[in-house]
Amino acid sequence: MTRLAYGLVALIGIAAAGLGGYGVVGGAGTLRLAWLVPLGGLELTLDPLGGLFLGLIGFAAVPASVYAMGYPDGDGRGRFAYVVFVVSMCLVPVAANAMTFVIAWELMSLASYFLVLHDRESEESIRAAWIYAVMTHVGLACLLAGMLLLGADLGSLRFADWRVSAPALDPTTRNAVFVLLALGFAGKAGVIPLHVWLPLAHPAAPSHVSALMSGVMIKLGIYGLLRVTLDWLGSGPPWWGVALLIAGAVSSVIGVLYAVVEQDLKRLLAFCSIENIGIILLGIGSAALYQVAGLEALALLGLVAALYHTVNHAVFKALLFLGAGAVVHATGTRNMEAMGGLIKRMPWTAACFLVGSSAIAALPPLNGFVSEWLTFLALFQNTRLDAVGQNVVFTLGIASLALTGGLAMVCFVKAFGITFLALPRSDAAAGAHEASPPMRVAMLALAAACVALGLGPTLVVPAFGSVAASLLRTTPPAAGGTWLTLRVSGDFASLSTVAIAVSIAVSLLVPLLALRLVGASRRTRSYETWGCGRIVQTARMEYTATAFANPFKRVFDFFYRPTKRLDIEFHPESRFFVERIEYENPTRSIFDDWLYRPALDLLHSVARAVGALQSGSANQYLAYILAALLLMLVLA
Amino acid sequence: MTTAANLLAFLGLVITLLIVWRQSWPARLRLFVAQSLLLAALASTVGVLAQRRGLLLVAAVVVVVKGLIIPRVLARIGAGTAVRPVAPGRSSGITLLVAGGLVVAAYVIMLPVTSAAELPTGRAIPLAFAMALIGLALCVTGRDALGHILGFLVFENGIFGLAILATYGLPGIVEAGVFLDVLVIVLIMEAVVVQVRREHDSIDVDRLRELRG
Amino acid sequence: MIAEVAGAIVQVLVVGAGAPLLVGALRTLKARLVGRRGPSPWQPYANLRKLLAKEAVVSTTTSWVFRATPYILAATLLVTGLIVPVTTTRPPLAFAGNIILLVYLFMLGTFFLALAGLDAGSAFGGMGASREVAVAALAEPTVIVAVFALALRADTIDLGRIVERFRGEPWLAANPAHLLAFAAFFIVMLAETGRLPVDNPATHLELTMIHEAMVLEYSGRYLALVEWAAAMKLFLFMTLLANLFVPWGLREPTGPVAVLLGLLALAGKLALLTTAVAVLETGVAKLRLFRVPELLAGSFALAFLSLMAVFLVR
Repeated sequence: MTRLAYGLVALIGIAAAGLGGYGVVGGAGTLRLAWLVPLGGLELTLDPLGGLFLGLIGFAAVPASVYAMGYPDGDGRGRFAYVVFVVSMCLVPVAANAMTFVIAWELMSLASYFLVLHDRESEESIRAAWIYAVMTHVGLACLLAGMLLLGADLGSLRFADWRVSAPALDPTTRNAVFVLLALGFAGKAGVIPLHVWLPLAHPAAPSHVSALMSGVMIKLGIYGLLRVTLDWLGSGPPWWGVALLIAGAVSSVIGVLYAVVEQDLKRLLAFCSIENIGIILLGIGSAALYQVAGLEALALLGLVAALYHTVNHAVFKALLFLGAGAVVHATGTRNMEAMGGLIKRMPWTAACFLVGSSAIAALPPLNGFVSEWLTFLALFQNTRLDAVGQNVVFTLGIASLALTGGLAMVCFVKAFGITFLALPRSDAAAGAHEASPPMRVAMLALAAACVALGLGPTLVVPAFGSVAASLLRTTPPAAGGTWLTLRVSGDFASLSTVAIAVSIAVSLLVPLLALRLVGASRRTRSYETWGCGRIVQTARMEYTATAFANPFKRVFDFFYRPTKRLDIEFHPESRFFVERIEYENPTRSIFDDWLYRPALDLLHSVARAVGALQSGSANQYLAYILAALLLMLVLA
Repeated sequence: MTTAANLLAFLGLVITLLIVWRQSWPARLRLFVAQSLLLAALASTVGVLAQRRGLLLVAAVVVVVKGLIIPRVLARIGAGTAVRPVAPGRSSGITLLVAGGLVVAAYVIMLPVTSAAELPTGRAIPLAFAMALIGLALCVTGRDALGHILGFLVFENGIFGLAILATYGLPGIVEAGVFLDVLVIVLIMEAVVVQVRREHDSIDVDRLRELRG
Repeated sequence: MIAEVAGAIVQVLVVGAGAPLLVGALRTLKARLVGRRGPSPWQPYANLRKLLAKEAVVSTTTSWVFRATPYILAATLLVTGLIVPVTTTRPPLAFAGNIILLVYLFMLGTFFLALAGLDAGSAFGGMGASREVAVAALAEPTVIVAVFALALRADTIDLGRIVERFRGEPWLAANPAHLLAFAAFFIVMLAETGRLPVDNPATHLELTMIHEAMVLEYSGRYLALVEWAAAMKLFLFMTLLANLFVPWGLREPTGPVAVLLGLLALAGKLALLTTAVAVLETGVAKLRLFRVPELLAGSFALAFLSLMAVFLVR
């Protein structure tokens, strides 16, 4: 029964991917059921951008479902919610009016709430689900407010009508609608500072759900932002693009900074998602600014970079979450400090995780590198813009992108190195078993997709280009370069990942052959790691994840504000001998301290003040009624 | 008809003010009965003079329901509570002032209505509305459940009088519905109050303060 | 076609064979500056030959990542050598990427080296890996911004063409912003290649090592490959510094003469740079590890200023 449900979702995924692909290449279609729901009815439209996201959802749902089928002791608790989740996600990109959109959005949020609440006993799970529910509904309130405001002003709730009439709106309304909608979508995408739910909800959900949430659901926030910035409201004032750029730069750096100091494997991946959302926003922001300045080709470049990174991130993040799920399942813990040495016990998982880590660290020639390269190029060419202020923002964007590139590498050296390499740090890790075949198949498929997307940008970029062109309503860019080389902006820059891959492969052979020719010694002796003369090399000698992140905690301590807790238990007989040392170095989140706690405190004090109205006296309540009646009569 | 309507409405307002002034619940009950009979008389007068035979039937129903059935139920509710409130905390002076203010307010609010419609009963409309508002005020200052119910009934009487004066009676269905509603409400309140008294030995509303959130 | 392949082979040979010489010359110079006779500049070759003849000891805690890393590292550096304009302004793989690709190829090598350091399961490896990736991550923005400043002024992002533009219009280079970018890049070079004041390549004290700690576990042919790769990294960084900022002497690959001239010019520039580095290394002490980010932040500020100068002067 469980397998049937997941199999059904996999089939839905394949269908969605097919339909999405059809939409990308230009097929269009509409479906209208006006009687189904009020306020406009159910209306679905397929257009290239929607098709791209629909295809992405379908494509990601297949490995996730196959993976879920491989859970040996699969409890079928989340089956129904999972089906609803995937189906509602598929409806969002093809929704054609506000009612359909909001219904699908809310279904998606509710289904994912139940999926996050998978482990109903744990306090942490309940808290995570609660915060997720609150944040997602705050976002929904903003979305509703924005959409209804726009609909009321324009007289229609259909997106096609908005496209036509919104540019004629007065600027205040447009800006207000933009702010509301952008806040709602940014909250779903996990942009700083609306990100608090992400690192709590993604680890709490089961891994195939986390893969979908991180890979695809937050991308629907990106889908919304794309629609709002570039489609529904027409071309907006420059501050929209600047705001997106700054949000992207901030999110990417802060997201990865939090990821670097995490010990929980899945939470680390969740923070990395925030970082990648930031990178996507950099692309969207640059596209918006170029669009306003009339530089169509550059706007297309920025948008292509953003779309490419969206797809890439979905693929490698899903891969990483599935790998993490396999690891968590095998060792029974999410804490990296208790793992290690898994590469010998789970070689397939380790290899796939390595591919995923290299992809997300943007190492050539994999797909993460290509989309970051494109984003860099989109940001580089801001010299064509005349406003110095915008140039400065772009430069900050470049600097932050470079910084996150480096920090992402650090993050995944830590994630892969501590989890898989060296000796097992606990008995659970020592007893880990390899993932079951369906899980392996899912991970291998995604790893292959990473490699394919990395080696085939020349095939993929034109498709993204036509999607971007349809969104910006311009002509698609002329095909740049040959099958081997990707040329950008005419002759400005070129990239050939195939050539790089081939060169690296050949260069791998060069030392091998050279060593053989030179007659180097081929003898290898196996021995212990050098331990400075110690007799026994145990897992306690290894570096820990906390220690690995220590340089960053020191360098960025103004941001992390770490606190140190040191507990030393001395031997009862003598203070010169130590029985136990417990060291903790937690970081504090400045968003919790400076943004959310004050906001919650304010809310509590307002609620307490309003609570004075509830006096318990029936007479007072009746007096309220009388007063209200009199007031109404007088005013009417 | 104008004279008759004005006189009856004025008498009704006086009775309402007396209800506000008197402290003991049996007295208030008797005054309520008087008010209801007065309203029945008003209905029959308007019915005869304006040739609405239906109003005679309505008057008869008022006499039966509000003159007989409801007072008996109210007496059952009130049985057991002290005749006069035990703690003489509240004087009726302030409430009378408030009632006076509400009469003025009723005149102000009803001004556009009376000037717009040229009805022979027009001058009496504000008086009936004042009766309704004072009924609500009675509700607000009621000391126990009985006080609240009484206030509600006076309010209902006022609305009934307003209906008769302004539109010469409401459609039959509406009248029947309203009567039924009032009857049912009173019966339910009786059940509730009896239960509350059994549980807590008191129907004093001040006890509700303990339920603060 | 043949010419291109030949050019590629020549470039690989220059980079591969010239790198140990560079390291050796640097060591000799440093020794002479402090009054010692020092080893001969050809010593690194002898070291490599010795290492190749020894057997490799591989720890039982390690996995295939440890054994594959030296090859991957050497491969990435060889490929990088084909992208940097070493002797001509049209390196063989120029079409394959630009400065961004370069930076990320270096990061690929660092990534695997750090993993290999963690793989050994010793505290040295972990510490070296942690420090090395921290330095690399913090140095990356500076590299990109500094080269971007150059690219802006030259109006192209292809490395070879930047060289051509600056060579053709020298007044573009006579700019304080150019010097700022040079200074920034110089500091980053020191950081990335593990020279003083960021890391002491000659130390093996556990608290002062960065790069050496990562590769502590390697021996035999693996260590030979890793040392060779480190030498190539230094060579390539110095080449970038020399050719991008002082572009004279490089030509288009019109024939063996141009390549030879380019090689001679490169040798001269590298000699000057090596002297400068040697003097600097002899003069300064190693920075405390947690002062290094300040240094890198300073270099980033220089690069940023250089970029701002481009926008404001335009």
